[in-house]
Amino acid sequence: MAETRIEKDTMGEIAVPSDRYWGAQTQRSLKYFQAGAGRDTMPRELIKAFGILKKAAALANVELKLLDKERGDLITQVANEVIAGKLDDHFPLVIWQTGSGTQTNMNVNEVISNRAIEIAGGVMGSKKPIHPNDDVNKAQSSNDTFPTAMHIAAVEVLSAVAEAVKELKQTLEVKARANADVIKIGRTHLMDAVPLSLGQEISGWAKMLDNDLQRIAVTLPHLYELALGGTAVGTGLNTHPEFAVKAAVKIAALTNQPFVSAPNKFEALAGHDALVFAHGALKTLACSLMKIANDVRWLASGPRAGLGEISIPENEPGSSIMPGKVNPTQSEALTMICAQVLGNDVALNIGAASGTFELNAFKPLMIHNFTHSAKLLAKGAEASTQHRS
Amino acid sequence: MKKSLMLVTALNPHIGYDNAAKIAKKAHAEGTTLKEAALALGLVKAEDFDKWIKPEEMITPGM
Repeated sequence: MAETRIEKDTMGEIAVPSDRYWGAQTQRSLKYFQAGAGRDTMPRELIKAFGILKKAAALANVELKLLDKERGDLITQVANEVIAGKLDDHFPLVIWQTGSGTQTNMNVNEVISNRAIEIAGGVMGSKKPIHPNDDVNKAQSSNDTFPTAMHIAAVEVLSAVAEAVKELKQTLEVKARANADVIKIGRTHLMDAVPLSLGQEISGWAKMLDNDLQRIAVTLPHLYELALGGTAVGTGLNTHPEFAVKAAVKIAALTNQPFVSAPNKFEALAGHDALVFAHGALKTLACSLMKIANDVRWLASGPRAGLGEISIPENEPGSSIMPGKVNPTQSEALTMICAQVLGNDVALNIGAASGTFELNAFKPLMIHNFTHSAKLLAKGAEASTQHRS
Repeated sequence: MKKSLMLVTALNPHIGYDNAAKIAKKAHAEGTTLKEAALALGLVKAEDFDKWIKPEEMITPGM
């Protein structure tokens, strides 16, 4: 490190790079947790979600007269910067840290605290006028903020998946109509069967995606339930009785999504079945896409010694030694994405099944895999729509 | 339950996270109760401690 300043937490002093807003706890996390450094960092969607919930919490606490307006305004101003992505370089922590995501919650608290102090003309690290725990984290615990951020992030990435799948579905519906009269031989068990039209065959693919969209929509209501207000174990210790509902209403307004306060905070901290169910819909989508992509590449096989029933785009040279070769690369990328999503599902299931007593401590793993799957599927479906014949 | 150091969490809104941590750490290091540590550090008065640390009042929101 070139220039440093001294930050303090309850463990003592530690040097932090002067040009970073994070504090002592973030710096300790960087020291103790290096697996995945620079690669498996917390998803941008989760950091943005944290900005939204810190803003909502500050606004609720000001209304409840537990935080003065000046402090509330400072926290809100910096939370807006977090939401806009202006402070992304100040969130370096990896997934493979504490299972509650406490270090990331504190990373957010520290960055908001120090940036607010800078705006207020104070001394970074002094925790005055904005304390990371007492002000930014007021009426909150990592145990309720992290799962709240997980649900906000999950809803955001799912809407991107739904949009991309909808477009692919519509593209297939157009193809189905255009090929309604192209009669071909059907195949069962890979062997010749009775005839159908190419349009009929493609309509089956479109309907699979239509069903997947409906399944994704069904998972949303549980994801709309937010843990915020449960604090450390779900009881709501150190919160105002109206805090949970007020904060959820503000998050709903900020995101334009129908988020509500979870009816049972013990479930919201200890069980993440909503994410399992929603990833189940992504897993199902992956199964659909893998079948469709495999059919496409088989039907396009050849050009002289394959099935050769359909043609797919010739986007790039397929071989370094065989001149003129073209391969079904979009299908290959998409089927690899689907395989990855099925693998992500296994890890996410193990994480969700491994909660103990009042907390699930596999939270970063779960949201990492969830956002990874959703982003891959959204881009994969988008590419299949764009790079079609 | 009454021996648990994490009852100290109820002091956060009154004396701040950093002071509450000092109490928990001192009690842990010296094998004392939270109350003994709090009084020794002069961070909380005995009557306030008894008023603020009540497990039966820690199971609901109550700020």
